[in-house]
Formats: sequence, structure tokens, C-alpha cells
Amino acid sequence: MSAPKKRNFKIEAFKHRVEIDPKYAEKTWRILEHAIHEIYNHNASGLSFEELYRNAYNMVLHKYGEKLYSGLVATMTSHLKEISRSIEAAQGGLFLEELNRKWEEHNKALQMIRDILMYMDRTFVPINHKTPVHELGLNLWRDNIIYSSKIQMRLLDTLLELIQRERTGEVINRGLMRNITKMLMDLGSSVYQENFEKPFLDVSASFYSLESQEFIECCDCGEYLKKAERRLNEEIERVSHYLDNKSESKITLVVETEMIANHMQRLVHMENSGLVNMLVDDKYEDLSRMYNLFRRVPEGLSMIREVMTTHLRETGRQLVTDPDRLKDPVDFVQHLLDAKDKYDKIISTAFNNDKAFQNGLNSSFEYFINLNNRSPEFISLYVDDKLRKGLKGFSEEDVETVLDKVMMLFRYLQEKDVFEKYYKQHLAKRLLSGKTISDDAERSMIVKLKTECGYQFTSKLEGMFTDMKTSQDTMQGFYASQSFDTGDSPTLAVQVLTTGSWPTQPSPPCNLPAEILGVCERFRAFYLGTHTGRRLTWQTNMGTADLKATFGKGQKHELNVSTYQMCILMLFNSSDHLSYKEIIQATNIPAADLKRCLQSLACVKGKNVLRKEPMSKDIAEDDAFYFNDKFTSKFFKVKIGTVVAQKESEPEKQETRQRVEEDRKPQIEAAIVRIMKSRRVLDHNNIVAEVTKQLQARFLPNPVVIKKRIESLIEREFLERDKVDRKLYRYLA
Amino acid sequence: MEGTTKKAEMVKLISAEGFEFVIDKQAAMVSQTIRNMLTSPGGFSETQQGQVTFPEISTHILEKICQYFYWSLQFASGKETEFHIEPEITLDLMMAANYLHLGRAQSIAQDYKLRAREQCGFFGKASK
Repeated sequence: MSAPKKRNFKIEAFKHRVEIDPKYAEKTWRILEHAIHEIYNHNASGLSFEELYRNAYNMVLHKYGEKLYSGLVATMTSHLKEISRSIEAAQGGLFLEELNRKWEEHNKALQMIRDILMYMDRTFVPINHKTPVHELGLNLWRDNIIYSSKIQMRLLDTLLELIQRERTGEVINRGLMRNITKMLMDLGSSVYQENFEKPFLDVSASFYSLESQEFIECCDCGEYLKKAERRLNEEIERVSHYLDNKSESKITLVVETEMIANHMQRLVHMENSGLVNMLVDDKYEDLSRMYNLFRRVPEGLSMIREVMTTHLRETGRQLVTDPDRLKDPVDFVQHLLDAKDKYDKIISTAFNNDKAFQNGLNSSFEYFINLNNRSPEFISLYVDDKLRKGLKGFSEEDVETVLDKVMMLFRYLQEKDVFEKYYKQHLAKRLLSGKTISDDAERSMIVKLKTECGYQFTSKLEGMFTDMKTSQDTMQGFYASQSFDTGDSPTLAVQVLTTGSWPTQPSPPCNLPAEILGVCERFRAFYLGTHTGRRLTWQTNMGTADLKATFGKGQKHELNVSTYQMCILMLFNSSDHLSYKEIIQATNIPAADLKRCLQSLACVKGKNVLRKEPMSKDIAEDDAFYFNDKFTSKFFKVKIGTVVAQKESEPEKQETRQRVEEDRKPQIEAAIVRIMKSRRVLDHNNIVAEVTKQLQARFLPNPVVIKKRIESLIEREFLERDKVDRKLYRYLA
Repeated sequence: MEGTTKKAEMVKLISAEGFEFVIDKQAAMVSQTIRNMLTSPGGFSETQQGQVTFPEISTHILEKICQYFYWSLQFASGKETEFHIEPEITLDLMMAANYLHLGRAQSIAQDYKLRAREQCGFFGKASK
């Protein structure tokens, strides 16, 4: 094998025929042309690839590339014309199959031709900027088959008809459909779009426009949405099975526009089944379907949201202004909580926890809760009810959940300071009467308020707890220091309350019975002995007493009464019968309170330890009272109704309101001064805006009130008006 | 059985003079042209018989080509050695490489040819 290498080095042309036979090109082309025919006729098996390749190679090498290329175009075109005729001749349903079969054959032939003409593709085509063989074959197919006048429309009609049949529930040959659409895509995206996609979308649009019209006439909203959803899924599935992926967004847009966007208004407001009905009936599935479909179209979600908030505001407004509801505060708040729960659940299960929907919910609640200016009071009453008895037997977590929910409502309140006022009153009553069921729950509520509104908001509430604790210690110290035997004298429990922390009304003390007075004086001496410089005032309107009483037949009972009631009852130790005037003289209890006490002592069935003449429901100034000898009760301990935390009466409400307004004044003034101190000069509108912003965590100040406060500050020379521009205020340091 | 499978993996390349080279199909398919000949879907005679005749490639060039196939496989798997070409066959080899669509072989041969020409020029000058 190494022998030939020993030849001398010589430059020699490659062993091609240097002499060019004039008929060479023609002869070579004939061979290739014959081969192309054979390939199209499925007779290629006998051919030698090497020979064909070599011939094509040599033709290109000897500058007959142009002849080769144009020969190829002519030969292929003639074959395609023949194919076109055979496809045209195919009958009915066989048309697509024939087209598909011929397409596959053409593809295979094209690949073989490309392979043997590889050298031309590599050299001749790029240099002369011709179309490469494979692409050329596709273009020729497109021009001779797809654009053939007898095939173009027939193909489109057949495809659209098949799709239409599938839409009406028939089963069609999806594999064939896929091959044909794939062919259109292979021929270029513009061929697919022009010859199939655009007409397909147009036909679909009119189909769905018609169908949706039909559906909306005969279906309710939920049913319609179900159908629309199914259609949408069908189209998406169709695309995945036999259309171009890029068609998905286009066809879904058609369905969305025709079936949803065009009927949105009507669907949402459909009578008896629209959005409002779904909300009322908690139809999570339908709501979720509506959400998912509507979010596909512009303005869809905002429409749902708007209808929902409008409905919510309307029902909320009815709820908070319904005079029947106002009779029971606990029930009132419970309804609010239930509504909140209901919509929270709808948003989380059906509306994908959409932030915009949550905001809509919050703003709606904020809107209608503040429509009723008793909401702060009622919410506090609800907490009071829960902390007195409602939460008995609940686990710690349950208590937390209830309190958290209340805090949700609290957040919606604009007048948080009003809530504070009421909460303080209710808390005071709970603490002083020892009615609170769980110290932990109370403290937990305080912590929640503190995190929500800051230290300032709860400092007084916490002060109340501290007072309770120190009072206990003080009482222990008091009894430890008393060396004498207490014996028969009454046991005293004093709660020392810091003035200011407690919502107490200074009221003149009533005349205490002598027995009590003695102990009280001893306590006063003890307390002032340890704490110099303090002043003690007795709040007789707030205390309670346990009395041991013996009735006519010797039956003993322990009576649980208020301090006022105790004073009244003690009078009957010395006489059996007293007139109203005598009682008021002896006790010095304010008339309104006295009447209420007497009412609960004499007029409540089963607890009437006093007898009144004449017998009537109300207490008059000239009534007379007798000790009721015949009083019986199956309980040893009898609790005489004390005045529990109740919804305030109208005058009380006015009074509280007034106190709140009074409390707001210094806060507004402080805010104005803070702002002016840093700004020095500011105009009226900006002051109002900034004050509102600073105070909105506690309440919504009234601009008129702010103006009054500004005037008051000018009077006191904190501020002055600008001499030129009267709208400007200037801070006077 | 083993024989047939082995046969299927081997192909026969025949030179202009009728010399037969039996090499791995994998090696022969380094050439895009031979790959097409052996795999084109139409059932050409080369695909059926597993052999290719090259009436325009002489034995010693085809031998070099076969060597190149194996060298190329090794080169592709990371063993980068030099492929040596005798100066007197560079031109023929270039032509054959062009025919067989062996881009790298063509450029290697071209390098050798240029180098040979430079050396000639150098010697030429020295002898003057």
C-alpha cells in the first residue's frame, strides 16, 4: 500500500474529464432527471446515490449549476401539477386524506432530492442567492397545490366544516387535521394564517356570537357560565390537539369577547341568578367560575368588584340603620361579624384571595360601620358581653379568634376615641363588679388595642388593672394591721382608683349606715397613714354589698345588692315602713338612682324584699315601702339586679358624645401646635389636611371644629393671621 | 447472529482501482456525503448493500481518507493529535475532501499545501 507514495511530486489536475463533451451537461442532466422521476414514482431502490451525487457534483463543478437548478424546478413543477390533478379528483371525504398522503410522499421525495443535490445546496445556491432545495420544494408545493384554484377554497371549507362538526359533538379525525394544519404551518406562518387561521377566527366569532345569544335567552347566569367555560376549554383543547400553539390566545380571545365581554352586564345583573344572588346564596363554585372567566376580559374583575361592593354597602347600610337591630347591640355586632366572615370566605374560596377584592370589602365595611355613630359603643358592648359570660367554656384559641374578629371591626371605626371611652366604662364596670371571666382574655384585648393604636390609647386601661392589683394588696395590709377582732362588724373591701384612669363621675357620697361608716373611717386612717398627701373620696354609687337577712318565718337569705340598695335596706332594720321621702332624706341618694334601686327591690318578681304601696310598676314620690315578711326564694343567695352595662339611653348618649367632643379639643389643638411648630407658616386648608392625617388613627376630626380650635389658639396667641394673606397662619414662638 | 450485527455496523468503501476498505459505519459517517448515502430514506443501492463505490477516488487517497475518519473520531472525543499529510497528495486529498464534505480535512490539506509551497520557495531561493 505504501508503494504508490514513492511517486515523484507532481502537480496534476484531478481526474476529471478535462475535455468537455458538449453533450456532457445534457447527458448528465438526463440521468438526474430520470432519477427524480423514479423517486416520485417510488422506484428509487435501484439507483446509486454515489452516482447521482457525483453527477450533480460534477455539473456544479463544471459550471452547469444553473442548468441543474432550473431543470429541477421544471421537473418538480410538472410532478406537482400531476399531483394536484389527482388531489382535485379525490371525492368528498377522501380529499383531505389524499392531500395528506401526497404531502407525505412529496416530503419524502424532497428529502431524497435534497440529499443527492447536496453539493449544489452547499455551493451553487448560496453563491447565486437561490432558494435552497428543501424550501424550494415547499414553495412549489404551496404554489401548485395549496394555491391551486380548485384546492384552495375546498381545503378551507373542508377544515372549517370539520371543526364545526366537532363543535356540535361529532368525532372527527384529529390526526388528519393535525397533519394538514402542520402542513400549512410548514409552508410558512403566513400561509397558515391567511389560508386557515383568519377565516377560522371569523367563523368562530359568528358561531359564538349566535350561540351566546341563544344561551343567554334560555339559561340562568350560573348555567351560562358553565357553558362558556366548557366552550373555552374545548377551544383550548382543540388548539393543543391540532392547531398552532400561537392560535390559542387568538381563539380564546374570540370566545372571551363573544361569550363574556359582550354579555357581561347582562350576566352580572341577571335576575334571580346574577352576581348578587350568588353572593347571597354563597355559591362558591359559580362565583369562582365567574371570577376566572371575567378576569380574562378587560374590566371584567372591576365590574364584579363594583357590583359586590355596591351590594355590600347597600346591605350593610340596611343592617346598621335597621332600628330593630339597634335594640340588641350584641346581635348587631354578631351580624356584622357574620357578614365579614361570609365575604372573607367568598373572597378566599372563590375570588383567589384577590387583593383588590379585599380592599373593596374593607372599604365597604368602613363605609357602613361608620354610618351608624353607635357602632363604637355597640362593638364595645359586644366585647363586654363576651368577656362577662359569652366566652365561658371557650378554649384560649377560640377567645383569641373572637377578639381578633372584633379587632377587625375596630379597625374600620373612624371614631376610635369614642370606642375607647365606652370600652373604659365597660371595663370599669367589669372590673369593679368582679364580672370578668378571664384576666388573660382582658389583657389580650388590651395588648391588641395597644398594637393597633399605640401606648397612649391603652395607658389608662392598663392603669385600671394596676389599681385593681394594688387595692388587693392594700386590703391585705389593712386587715393585717387591724389587731382587733372584727367579729360582727362588716367586712370591707375597698378598691382605690386613681382619678383620671377611671371613667368615674364625681357624685356626692350617700349617707352610709353607721356600722359601715366606722370601718370606712378606719380604712381611711390606715390608707392615709401609709400614703401621705392623698385624698380619698368614696364612690358609693359603684360598690356592692352582701347582706344577711332573716325574714318572717325565720328563713335566712344572703342578699347580693349594690351599695345604694344596701343603704336602703339597712334603714328597714329600725323600722318596718318608710315613705319615699323619708328614704331620700335618710340616704341622700340622687333621685334617679334611688328610683331605680327601689324599683329593683320592690317590683321584680321573686326578688321583692320590699313591698310597695300602691302596687305599681313605677316609683312615685309619695309611695310607701314595707319590709316584705313573706319573701321566699328557693335560693339561699339572692342577687338583686344591679344596673348592668346596658346600651345607653338617649340623654346618656348625648352626654358621652359631649365628653368625647370635649376630649378631642386638646388633641386637635396639640396637633395644630405640633404642625405649626415645624412648619412656622401654613394656610388653612393644609392645616386641616395635616391635622386630619395626624389624628385619623383615633378619630376623624370635623373641619369646623378644627377651625374653632385655630381661632381659640389665635386668641391665646399661639398663632396669628398673616397680615397680607388672611388665609395664612403664623406660629408665634 | 453476532456476525450479522457486526456486519451491520461495518461498511465497505471501494476505490477507483477496486480496493475495498471495510470500516466502522460510525467512522464513515464522519462524511456528510457518505452519511446521506447510507441513510437517505429512498432505499438507494448504497443503503441496501452497505457499500459505496468511488470511481473517482484512487486507493491511496481513500486510504488516507479512512485514516482521517478514525483520527477525526478521536479528535472529537478530545484526543487532539496532528493529522499528517504527505505533501504530494495534498491536492488530491483536498479534492476528495470537498467531494465528501469533510470541511476540516479540506482545511488541513490546504494548510499542508501552503506550507509545502513556502518550503519550495525557501529552497528555491537558497539554490539560486
